[in-house]
Amino acid sequence: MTALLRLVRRLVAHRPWQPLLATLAIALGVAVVVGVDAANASASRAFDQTVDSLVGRATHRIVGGPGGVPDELLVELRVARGLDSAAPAVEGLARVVVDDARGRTVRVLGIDPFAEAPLRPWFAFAAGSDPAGGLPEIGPLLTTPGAVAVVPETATALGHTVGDRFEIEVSGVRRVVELVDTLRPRDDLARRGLQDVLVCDLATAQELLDQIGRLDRIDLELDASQATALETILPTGLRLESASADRGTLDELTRAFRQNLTALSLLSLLVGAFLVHNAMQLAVVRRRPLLGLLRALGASKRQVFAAVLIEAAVLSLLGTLAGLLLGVALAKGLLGIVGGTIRELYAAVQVDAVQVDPWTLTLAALLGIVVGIAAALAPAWEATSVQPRMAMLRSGLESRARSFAGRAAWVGAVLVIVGFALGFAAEGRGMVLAYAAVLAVLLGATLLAPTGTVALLWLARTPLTRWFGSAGSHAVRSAETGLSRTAVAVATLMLAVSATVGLGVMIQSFRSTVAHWLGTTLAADVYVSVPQSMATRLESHLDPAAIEAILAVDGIAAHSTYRRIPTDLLAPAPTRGPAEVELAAITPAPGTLAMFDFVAGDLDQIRAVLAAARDGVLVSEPLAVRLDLDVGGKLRVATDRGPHDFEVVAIFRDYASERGYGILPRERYDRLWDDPAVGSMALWAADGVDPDTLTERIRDALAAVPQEVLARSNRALRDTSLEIFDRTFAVTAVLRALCAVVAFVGVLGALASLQLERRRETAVLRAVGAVPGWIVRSVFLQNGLLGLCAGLLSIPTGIALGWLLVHVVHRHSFGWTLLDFETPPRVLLEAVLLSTSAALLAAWWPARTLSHTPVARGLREE
Amino acid sequence: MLRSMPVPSPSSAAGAASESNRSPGAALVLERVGKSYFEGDARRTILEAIDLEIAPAERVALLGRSGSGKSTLLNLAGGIDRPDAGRILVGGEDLGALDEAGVTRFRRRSVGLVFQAFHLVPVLTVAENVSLPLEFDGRLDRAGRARVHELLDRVGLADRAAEHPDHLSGGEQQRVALARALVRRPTLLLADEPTGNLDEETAESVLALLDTLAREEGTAVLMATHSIRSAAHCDRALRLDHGHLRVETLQPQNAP
Amino acid sequence: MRRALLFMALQLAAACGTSDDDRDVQRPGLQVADVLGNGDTEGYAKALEIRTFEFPADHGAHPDFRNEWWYFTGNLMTATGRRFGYHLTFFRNRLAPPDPTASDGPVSRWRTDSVWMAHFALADVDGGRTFDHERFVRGAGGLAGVTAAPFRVHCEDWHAASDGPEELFPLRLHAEGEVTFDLTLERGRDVVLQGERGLSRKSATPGNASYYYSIPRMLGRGAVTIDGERLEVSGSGWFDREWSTSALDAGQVGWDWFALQLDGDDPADPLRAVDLMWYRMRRSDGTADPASKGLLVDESGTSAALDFEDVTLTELRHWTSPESGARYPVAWRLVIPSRELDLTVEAALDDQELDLSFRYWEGAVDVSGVRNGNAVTGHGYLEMTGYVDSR
Repeated sequence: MTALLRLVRRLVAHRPWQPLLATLAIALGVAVVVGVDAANASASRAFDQTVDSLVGRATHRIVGGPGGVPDELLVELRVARGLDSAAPAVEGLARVVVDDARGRTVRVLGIDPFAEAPLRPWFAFAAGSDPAGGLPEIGPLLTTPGAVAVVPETATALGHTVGDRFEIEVSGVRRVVELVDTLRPRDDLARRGLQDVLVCDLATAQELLDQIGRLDRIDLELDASQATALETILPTGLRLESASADRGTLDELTRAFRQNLTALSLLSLLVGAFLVHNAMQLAVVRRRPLLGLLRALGASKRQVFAAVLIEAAVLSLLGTLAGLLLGVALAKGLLGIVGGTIRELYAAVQVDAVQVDPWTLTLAALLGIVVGIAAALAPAWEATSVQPRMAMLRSGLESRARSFAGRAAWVGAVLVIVGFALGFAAEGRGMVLAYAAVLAVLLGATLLAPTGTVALLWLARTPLTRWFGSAGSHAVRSAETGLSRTAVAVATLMLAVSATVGLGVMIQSFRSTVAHWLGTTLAADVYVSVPQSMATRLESHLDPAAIEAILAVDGIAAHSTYRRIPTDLLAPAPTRGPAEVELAAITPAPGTLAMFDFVAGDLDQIRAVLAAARDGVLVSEPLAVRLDLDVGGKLRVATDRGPHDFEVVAIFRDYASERGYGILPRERYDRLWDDPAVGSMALWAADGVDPDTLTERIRDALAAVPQEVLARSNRALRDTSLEIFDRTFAVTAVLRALCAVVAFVGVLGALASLQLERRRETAVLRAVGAVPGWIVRSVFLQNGLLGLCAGLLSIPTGIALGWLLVHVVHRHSFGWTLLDFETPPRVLLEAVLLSTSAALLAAWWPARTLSHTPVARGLREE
Repeated sequence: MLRSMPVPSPSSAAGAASESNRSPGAALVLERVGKSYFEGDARRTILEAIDLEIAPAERVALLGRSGSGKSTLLNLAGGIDRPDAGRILVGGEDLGALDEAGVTRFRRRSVGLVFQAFHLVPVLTVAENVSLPLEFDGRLDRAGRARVHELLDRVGLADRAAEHPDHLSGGEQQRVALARALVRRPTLLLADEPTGNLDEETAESVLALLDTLAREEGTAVLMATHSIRSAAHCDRALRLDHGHLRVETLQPQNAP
Repeated sequence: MRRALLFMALQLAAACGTSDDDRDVQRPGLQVADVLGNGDTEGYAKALEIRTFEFPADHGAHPDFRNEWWYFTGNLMTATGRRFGYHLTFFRNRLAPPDPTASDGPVSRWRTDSVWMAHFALADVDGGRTFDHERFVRGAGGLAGVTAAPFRVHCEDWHAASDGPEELFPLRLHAEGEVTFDLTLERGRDVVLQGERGLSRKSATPGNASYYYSIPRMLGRGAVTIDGERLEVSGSGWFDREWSTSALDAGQVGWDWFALQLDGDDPADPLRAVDLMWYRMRRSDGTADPASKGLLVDESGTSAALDFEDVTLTELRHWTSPESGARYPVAWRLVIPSRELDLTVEAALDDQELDLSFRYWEGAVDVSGVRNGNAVTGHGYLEMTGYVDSR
């Protein structure tokens, strides 16, 4: 065995390029997996740390509906009931104004410093007591108007020092705060959790956030019996929940987003695996004579098998190690993008540091090695079939390769069909099945690739011969006769490139669907809202003065108001995501119905619901999928009047929220909730009034209102929405680019080594009279041809992959049905260009080497 | 110089060779061995009911034109290929009774191979090449290493043990191959045109070395060659012609 | 002003958790003089001149002054003779002077510039244990505060409260922590004004003074729940009230404050007896400050101020705290020759050091001695500050 291993080591050292590129491919695959996972995990971890640092020792908390928790409850708990661990919190998002265009989103957290010590000792340092023993400064925090304190890192990030006054914007209104102190938690967790948090006194927070009389929650440290006792006395609309309920929320919120990214990162590892397969396959093919000799000298099948696997294992191990390092670096890059998307869409969490979980690394390492070894199984098996021979001719192998190509094509075709069948079956049945479908189609496609290559080569022979003469015809013939190597290379490249096609198709289909949907749903002419992050638990609302000002504007034919709130989902249990559901209360306008694209439901019933003539709720498709609800189903949610059952009357298409939401008329909402707020408004222009003019008029009217309110035309909102969409998919685009890099490296490696294998053949050709230029032409032609083959074959495969991603993976992850399926020509062209240009680049070094190698040396090569 | 005559008819031992009429402890016994290949749909018989017995330490030359089946016969004797008919025994072991792993083990221990093109592994040193069969068997212990050294000494290449084969001349490479073939003290050495790639002078010296070593080691030799000169080094010569073996009478040419 | 120092502990409110787990949190050590020498009194009202006290209004808050406290101590006993000492104090501290330019716009009910602190300690004399607790609460939103009629001062659910608007008694005290304490003070002596008709001057500097009155003896009964066992108790109480803005003079490091209740001769009316308050101010050089003062109330209820020269105070025995290393005098001889009073005051329990944000000794004491040639006994409370070396 050691002899074989030594031999393998020497062989690798002798011709390092192919193994090196296989190693690189695995490294890239592992790096993408690690990078994506670490970026995701870091975001989740950062969020949980925030939660932890804010939960502290609290075991429970009291939360309420949109109206929050009334101030009085705190007095009741602490004075009448003597619960001195009851710590209130008022929370909200704000933007620290840098200049008119820029800002930094921060969380304003109002606490009662005196109630914190038992639960969160680190807030103790709100007092900023420094070890030198100077007088602590709790006074300024309580008595300075707008006093806030931050951790030093945040002070630096904001560019402010203690004593600075600066503006923050909350729900469009600017307020001045003063940085009175820095928080210096000795606990690292708390320190990280407090990044980008403006800590202030409860009173300050209520005033800054315009939440007077209202707490967001009361944290408590309770034992089980105290909790039970407390639960019974809580007023309707308030509830007691576990303090760590927020832990993992981000995980839940972003599950689909992350699942999607993970799926795509696995795809890149799969491509890496095929590259390893390719490398090992070529190694075995190349070493057939040697393997025959070794077998003749007494090497057993098992020894040969193990030698190939161990070589693959070592390459995978090296690649994996490199990949882990690379992955951590990649994570840093991805983190910005992933963190940005999460901040934009899910939660205000500052993700600065990559936190690499040892488990992630272990898992990725195992995955890399296992996948690498698995990819070498077939070549290793093939190696054992090499008969002990005194000599071996390749022609026998090539004829077998061709007949194998034929058989493989049949198997491949069956696999593709099975894959699609699985895809259809997988709809709504689980991710595993969806992944299996993707894998089956990709494997099938690679098995079909050799036959496709033969066909394309056959097609290419005549034109190439005509245009390039003997160099052209030799390029084709040589590729055909070397099918055992070329087919594997082309299949691998095809797969790598098809991943980029699939992702491109997916993104484009998605975008197109959303664009069409926006066209339908944005039916009103002008939209008015308060600038806010989607990450807030409760949306900011329009100042009543602003609403009044808007409705006084001339030229409004109709209007509709909108209020979005999260509430507890009591039934049914969700198949994924938290037991929370968003509800939107609307005041219908004549145009409201036209804004919906109903999947199911009776129009008369829907009208009745919107007119509050009957009870019921309209649910978005993702919510229906998430809760496995159909028309007629029941949705039980917590209201300020206690639990309420809504009948699902209709399901409508929606791409705005992956968790989904329900719609009910304002009239009913007001009966069930004590929340007069309006979040946004849709306005229809009167006949003859230009929407742009109306927008201008509304802006003018709003100028007198202190709140900053956005009035946007239909078109502007649509553009903004698509912009957000593009930002959301930025990370997918990055992954696509990474896949392209893996593919490029793959093409380069496989084709370069393929050509270098032809040393002896080239030497013979030159010996019989081929000039170096002819050799160069032939090498470039063959590589270009193979690259083109791979590119062309990647188109159908990529489209199939895209279809599966769109219809199976996404439908499952997000609950979105994409109506459009687009195969953008740009994406297809890119695939062919990528593949061909990489192939041509791969020809450069071999062409140079082959045409310059002295004939005699080339001939001596075995 | 040499005349052909039929091999003593096997009919005398009717119904194929039996245990009784076989010399006990023969290095190689072929009993009515047949082998044919398909070329497309056409069946081409290479060997037809071959009988052959080689005594321990006996050296036998196998003559024949290209394509006469010399290599096939060697492959069969080496357990590399299996006969369509008949029985092959090496050192009393029936190859037909062995499975794939058994044949590999047998080949590792009982057969040494020498090829026309030397077939040394270029990335391994001379000593490593010679050690290979020992290593496959997991026997590269101190004794094994001593054996490698001893053989390299005897082929006159001890001082080049650490070099790579491509730095050696053809004759030297074949001497390394010879050492490799003998390292496991095989019962039978199979040599396929061992001097085919060598000039006459070198060929002579390689053959002389083969003679000496085989005699010293007590190894039987079956050497395929088309050179009468080479055949002359052997105890007897056989000619393979249209699938049959004939005894070739050798004119002693190495008169002192 | 004696416990004005404790207000400064408010500054540490957030620096120290109150639960046991947080005891390892680093405690900034403070020296009395540092703390009291640092306050900015600008913008607050000051105790400049003698004023007329009005009750019940003056039981309530005087928010223009920086500091104010409501202070209850006393000795209790079960029917079987098991003895307890209690200490329940409410402190109001204003963090910033009244601001006439307060912002307009809606104001949170939690908006405040006053912070309340409450200390509650129970000495289990027979058990040799002292339980101590503390609370910091904002003085807003109904979490902590005081009303005059009916009188009620509270930090969350710890409170001292009268039943009705007219009468101070019955006055109910309640606090709980590791132990629960409920006491209804049913009757008490009349209010006595300390210092010069209630103006207690601390130095020659005008305004460096407080308004100070006391109810030196109250009687009541209630219950203590300790180790899960509820024990009926009865006993006495002392109520002290003071509000001020001023700070200590430089060079003063602490004080020893006595509130002593001698047993009366008339079993029919336990309120007819002698009560004595004395505080000794200590300077950094170890000597007593001439600003030390006291008050003696005789059986008839007549009160007389005691000056520095009137009292001779001798330390008889010391106890060193194993936790803080502070060396406290725990047995004293207090002689007032002019009153023919010679008393020995000894701690009922040596270890009554309170391990709160601010470390001090506050506990029950036994009194014995001679008055007018007759043997007397009694109980009382003693507070000692400024003994902890702050490194």
